Amino acid sequence: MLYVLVVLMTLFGAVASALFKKATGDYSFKRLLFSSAFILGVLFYGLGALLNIYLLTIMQYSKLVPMISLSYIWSMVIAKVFFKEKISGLKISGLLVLIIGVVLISI
Amino acid sequence: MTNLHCYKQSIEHNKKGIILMVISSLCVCLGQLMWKLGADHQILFLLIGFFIYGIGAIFMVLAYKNGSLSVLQPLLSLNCLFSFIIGWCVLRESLSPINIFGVLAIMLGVVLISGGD
Repeated sequence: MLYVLVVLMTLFGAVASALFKKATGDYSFKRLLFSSAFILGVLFYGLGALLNIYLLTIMQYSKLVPMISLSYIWSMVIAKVFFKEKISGLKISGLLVLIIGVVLISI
Repeated sequence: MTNLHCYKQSIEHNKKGIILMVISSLCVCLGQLMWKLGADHQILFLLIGFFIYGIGAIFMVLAYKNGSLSVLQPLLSLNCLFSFIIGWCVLRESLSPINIFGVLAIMLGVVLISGGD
């Protein structure tokens, strides 16, 4: 259950980043603040931050902070699915090494 | 000979960005530290944490204006290093050898992901 929350926290962070990226791409600064992408981004960011704070109450700091790097994996997936970016073999091997690292930290 | 020269030039060129990224990473880890300390409902620590985290985000944006992505993005792995040091020294948290290996693996993973563009 604990690690489901870690996954959710990092996922929300990556989604927020993607939404902010989408918001800055589409609008001028004035319209940006009121765009649905920006508002949703703030929402996901806030949820991620709340989860982060909660997890810090029940997890070791030096274990949780490295795990936040999981968000790079979600960003990769989002980039591939929604922004149609290409994923190189090097990135995939980095993904695997990262996952192994997270598993080793949680033992 | 030329490779070493190019490498040195790259560091020189991105120096400002590198320093800004290091500061940003420190701020992120300190912000998380504040949240950890404020976890038992000490709102002041939580707010300070948000503030420091925000400063870290600003420094990151500044860093990207002062260096190339390929040099700066791997530096995101510094979060793992700083959190280990801060956890060890400030919070007296210990990690098993397997955990430490995991931290190193995460750092390597971040560097590989950053380099994959």
